[in-house]
Amino acid sequence: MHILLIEDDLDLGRGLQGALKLEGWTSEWLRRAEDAPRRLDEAMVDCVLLDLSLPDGSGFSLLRRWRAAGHAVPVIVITARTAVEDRLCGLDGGADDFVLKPFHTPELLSRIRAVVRRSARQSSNTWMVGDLKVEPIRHEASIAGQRLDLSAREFQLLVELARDPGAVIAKVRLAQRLEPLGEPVDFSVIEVHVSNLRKKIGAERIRTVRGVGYMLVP
Amino acid sequence: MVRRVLGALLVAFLLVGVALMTTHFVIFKWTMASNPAVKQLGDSIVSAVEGLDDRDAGKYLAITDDHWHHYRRYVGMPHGDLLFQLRRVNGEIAYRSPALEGATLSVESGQLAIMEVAGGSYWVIQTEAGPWRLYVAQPFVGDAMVLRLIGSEMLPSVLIAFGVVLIPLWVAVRRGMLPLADLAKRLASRPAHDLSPIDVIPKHEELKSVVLAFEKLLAQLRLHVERERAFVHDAAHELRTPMAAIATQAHVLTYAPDSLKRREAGDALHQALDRASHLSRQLLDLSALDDGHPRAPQRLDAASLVQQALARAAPQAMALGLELSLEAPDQLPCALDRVAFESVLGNLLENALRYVPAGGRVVVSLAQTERRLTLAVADDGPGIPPEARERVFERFWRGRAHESIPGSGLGLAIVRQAALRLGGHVAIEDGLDGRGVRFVLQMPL
Repeated sequence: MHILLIEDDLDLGRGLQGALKLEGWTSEWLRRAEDAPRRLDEAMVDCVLLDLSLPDGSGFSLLRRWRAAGHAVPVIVITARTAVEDRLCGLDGGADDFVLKPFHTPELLSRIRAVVRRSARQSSNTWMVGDLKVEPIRHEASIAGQRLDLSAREFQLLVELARDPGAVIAKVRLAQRLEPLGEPVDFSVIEVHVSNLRKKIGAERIRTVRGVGYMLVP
Repeated sequence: MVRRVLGALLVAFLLVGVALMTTHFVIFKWTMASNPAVKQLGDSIVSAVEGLDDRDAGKYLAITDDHWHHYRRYVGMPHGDLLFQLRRVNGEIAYRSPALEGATLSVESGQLAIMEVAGGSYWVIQTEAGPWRLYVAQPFVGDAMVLRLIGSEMLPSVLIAFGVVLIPLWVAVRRGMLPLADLAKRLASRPAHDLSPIDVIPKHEELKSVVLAFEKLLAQLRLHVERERAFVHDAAHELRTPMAAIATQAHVLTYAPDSLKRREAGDALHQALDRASHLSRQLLDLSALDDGHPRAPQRLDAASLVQQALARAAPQAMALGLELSLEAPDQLPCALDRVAFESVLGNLLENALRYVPAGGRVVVSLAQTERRLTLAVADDGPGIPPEARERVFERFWRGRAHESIPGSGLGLAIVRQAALRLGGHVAIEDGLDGRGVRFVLQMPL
């Protein structure tokens, strides 16, 4: 895996490069926003670690420029700025995740793994969650080779949950993502579809957080 | 100051001058139309000659003519002579001013008319008594000339009045400014860091309110600086402990004889680092909420906001063996300061996840009643004894019972500060099933 690191602090940059190397990953370290590539070669870079407070300009503008150009490479924003506001700003501005200084190196590494996995999953044709296999392009799902007979809504719901197994997906997110199939979706409709999906794939595979949302058990 | 007083006074006198001239002009016009002085003169002369014969009347007129000729020169009237013409009703002329050079004055009775005669314009009026008709002609004066005359007559008095008003006004203004200059000098001579009260009570009412407002500002500043100092002191003090722990574990890590010990020291080092970074993050949050610049409320769906915050926290709750749930309407559109609201929710959730033991429940609820929004986080954990319920909101205060659980003692201080910024407040009640604790944020919408 190849990581692009954009961080102006010498100690932190050196330390991070060392940690990435221990993980067996290669990295390129830049210290100024103006050195950052205008285009991200998606074949070469698996993940970007971006410091927000660069000496020659905000990392935000860099991020926005990449996203505006349509680059989907996962970006994890690193910042020492005040917590909540920057996090909101960064996530809205197209960051995949957000890490506040000072951070735990193992946590950063696991977040890199998570965003890269998620991004790889987005582009791959087959997603495996245990013995559950979801093929979004072919509109097929199976458990241990046994094909599942799912309605369009149930399949869509499964896809949304399988995008990020182990994460709780809020009902409001599900409602937003299911909308395109036609009529607006309200929460009770989602509950019905989830309950039907449970019957077909096994109740223990989907956990409910009451009032909040659902999680596909990884 | 000088220029402003002079300017205002000049404008005032200019206005007075214009008003006076207008009044005089209007009165002049009105008199000319109703009962002009020349008519009164005519009336008095003609009644004087009523009983006289031609010779005496002619003589009287000649004397009167001569008298006015000299009088008008004497007082300096610049516009020529009055002209007289006396004749009997049957037309026989008894007297005619020599300046008329044989011309005849003739107008309707009692009407003031303008006539061109003897090479000039005249107002002419005719009056009669007994057998006599008297014509009096007064040199005509145009409106512009009338105004000029009025103006030149008023100018000296206006100038005198200007001087007379200026002097006492000047003295009053100077005296009025003295205490202000005095105050300015006092303020300027204070050292930059001196926030003590000014301690002057000026005599003038207007200045008193300025000084009082200033004293209030100073008092606020003192309080602010005091708080800031206390906060920096506390923060530095709180950071010392995790820093010391980090230093110790780093030492152990460097000199540990075997890999097991090194591993333990490494784990402990990470824990201490976690603690320090958590603390610094919360200090930043708190100072951001403290800066006193409220953000504009943002239109958003509070229900969806809370749902997503809980969705993010849910995997951790599951891992801790807690049952997390939300009771909220599907949607709750409103306008609020999102950062402050998320601070309240985030810290209350973090607290619950930290203190409620495995197997416990955490119930978050969100509701709108009329113009109020209520957010509550309830659990069935260890709870907070009633006597500690006020103190938990203080900075760096931590309950005795939880010394084994790491925490900065800032979470609830942040909650209270954020609630203040939202215009609401946070209360503590009993939690679920008569156990645990329930934090309730009430805020106006």
